This record gives sequence, structure tokens and C-alpha cells, in this order.
Amino acid sequence: MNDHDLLDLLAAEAPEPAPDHAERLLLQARHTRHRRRRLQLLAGAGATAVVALIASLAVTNSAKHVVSNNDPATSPTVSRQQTDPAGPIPEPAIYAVVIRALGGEMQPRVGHWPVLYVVDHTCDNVAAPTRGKCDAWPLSAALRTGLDAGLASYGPVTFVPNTSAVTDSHDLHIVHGGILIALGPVQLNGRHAQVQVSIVHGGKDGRGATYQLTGSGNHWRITGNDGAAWIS
Amino acid sequence: MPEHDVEFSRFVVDRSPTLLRLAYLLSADRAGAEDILQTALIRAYLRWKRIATNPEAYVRRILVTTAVDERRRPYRRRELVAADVPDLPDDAEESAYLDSKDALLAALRSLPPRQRAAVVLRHWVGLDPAQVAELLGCSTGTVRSQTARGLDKLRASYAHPNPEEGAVR
Repeated sequence: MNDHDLLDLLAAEAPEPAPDHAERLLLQARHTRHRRRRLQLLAGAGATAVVALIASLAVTNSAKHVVSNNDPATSPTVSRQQTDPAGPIPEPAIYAVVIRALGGEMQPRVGHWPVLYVVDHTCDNVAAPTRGKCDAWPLSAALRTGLDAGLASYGPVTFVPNTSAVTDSHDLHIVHGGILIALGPVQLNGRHAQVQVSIVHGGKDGRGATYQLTGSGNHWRITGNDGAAWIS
Repeated sequence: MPEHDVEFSRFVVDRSPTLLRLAYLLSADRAGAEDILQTALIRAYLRWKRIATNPEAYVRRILVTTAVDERRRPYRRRELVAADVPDLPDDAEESAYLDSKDALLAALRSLPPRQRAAVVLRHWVGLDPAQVAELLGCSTGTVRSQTARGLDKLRASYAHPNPEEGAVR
């Protein structure tokens, strides 16, 4: 018996993979990936909070300094001292770009909406008529702040727990002349990203699409889209 | 299902039996083999885009790294304590065969992890000494000496399954 046969004899004792091994492994791998992304997002939010705290402390200290010196010329303003809330995490900038793009496709002449209702958690396949599994955790505080800032010129943002909260039950229009935005999780791969978004204005006025983007930090541009997955 | 997931599932279905045998030989432990393979495949999934051209090499590397590094092993299960002694086979020839295999497995387990990995990669996977050295982070000379020592123990254990005959040192 040669050496390979000797080891083969032992290899034959190895367990066989279970019939559903691949399915179970894929589920577990997806779960791991999802959990990692969430942790990365939380880490980004934590970093944002720390930066904001440091900035606010700096403002407070500077203000104290100014008061004690009584020198208005050196008095810092809050706006100059504040850091960009969307800085450490790219998601707010990505979402802002695709929301404006899809909104522009729906209503090219509307540059400002009375209100932007944003569903406060992400769901898979929001670009499809039927949504996939929704995230149990709401959008992070950093993400909300970033969306507020990124969409300020497009309309005031209000976060809602679900679509029915702001949908008129009679004519299915979004209340107060606003639009309802649902976001999918951002899939980041270095300087490239892909994300799904859907916007509804009324019962027969909405659409969803998948966008590909390139960029970094707060500067993202759309490089492609899969077309409207649904149009109502 | 995304293309990425389809490719990964196909790879798992096609290659898991072989990879599980490799994990078993590297760890000499059935439960441990399943653990380290699961860990390796999940890590492969997370880096699929970068490793898609040769995922098996990546998975093999993780299996080796995990198996030779005791600290990275999820946990170790060596022996189960049983209240009753299992029935012994009556057939003398079958008994001798089982004795040989048990002795072989015991000898494989007795090898230091790196020596075991060198033997398995060189003589079961069929890698050349340079490839094994690269995977284990040592010289080809070390691979040759480790492999020779490991094989000596395995051959001796198979030829003389009874430890009293001096097979397993």
C-alpha cells in the first residue's frame, strides 16, 4: 500500500456533507455578511458620534474662551465648527443621490417636495413590487442625520415606521403632498456601490430601481441603473 | 438568487466532500473537520469576488492555517467518554483490519499539527514540497523532513497495529 492509499484509508472515515449542507451554509454566510455590514455601519455611527461630541466640545470651549476674552472677532459660529454629519459613512450621500435621481425621473419639474417620508428601516428588494425581508433595526442616528442634511434642499425628511402610516387609505396618495421613500441596504465594494430605492407619490405614481454608483466619502455619482423595476 | 450565491452554492456542492476529507485528515477529528470547513467556506463566501478564480486554493489555505494553529481551532473534541465498552467483532480478519485503521488514525492524531499537515498536503493532496512550504510558511527542507518522519509513524502503525509491538512511538 502506498502513502496516498494509506491516507485514503483514513480519508474514507471522514463525515459526508449533509444533503442540505450548501443551503444551510449559504444562509449562515449571508447572515454573517449582514451582521458584519451592520457592525461596520454601527462603527461608522459610533465614529460620527465621537466626532460630533469632540466638535461640540470644541465649540463649547471656544465659546467660553470668546466670552472670557470678550472678542467678537474670534467668536466661532456653530456652522463653521460643525463637522459634516455624513462624513464617516458613505450611505447618506449614496441614498441622497439615488433619491434625487429617481425622484427626478418621476417628477422632473419638482425640485422640492413638501415632505419626504422615509421608511425608517431598510428592506431587501425595495425596487421590486413586493419587498423582501426587512431589517429589524431602524436606520442609525448617523444615517438619519446624514439624510436630513443631504436632502435638505430637496424637502424636509420625516422618518416613518411603515408605508401605511402616511398613505391615504382612500386614494392611496401620500399625505401632505409628499413622497414615500423606501431604501434597500447599500452594497459597498470599495469605491463602488449598488443600492435599491423606491419612491411612491400616489396609488399610480411610483417606481423602484437599482442604481450602481462610484465614488467615496460624500461624493458619489450614478454610473448605471437596471431601469425601473416597477412603475405604477 | 444573485450570481455570486449561485456560484458559491455550486462550489460547495461540488467540492465539499473532498474538502471535508481534507479537513478530516488535517484535524484527525470528525467534528473538528466539519467546524473548520464551515469556517473556511463562510470566509470564502465573504471574499468570493476576489477569490472566485480559484476558491479551492483559498479554502485549502484557511483549512491548513486553522488546523495547524491550535489557537484558531473552534474547539477540540478528542475522545468521548462512554460508560459501556462497545462490542468487539468476532471475525479475526475484520478485527485486524479495524485494529490497523484505528492504529493508523491514532498515529495520525499523534503527529504534531504541522507535521500532519505536511504529510497530508504532500501525499494526499499531491502538492509539491515548495507549495507545501509556502502554505506552512517554512522551508522545503523542513517539509521533507517533517513528511518523512510523519510517514514513518503512519507506516509503522499500519504494519504493527498493536502498540505493544512498538509501532507507535
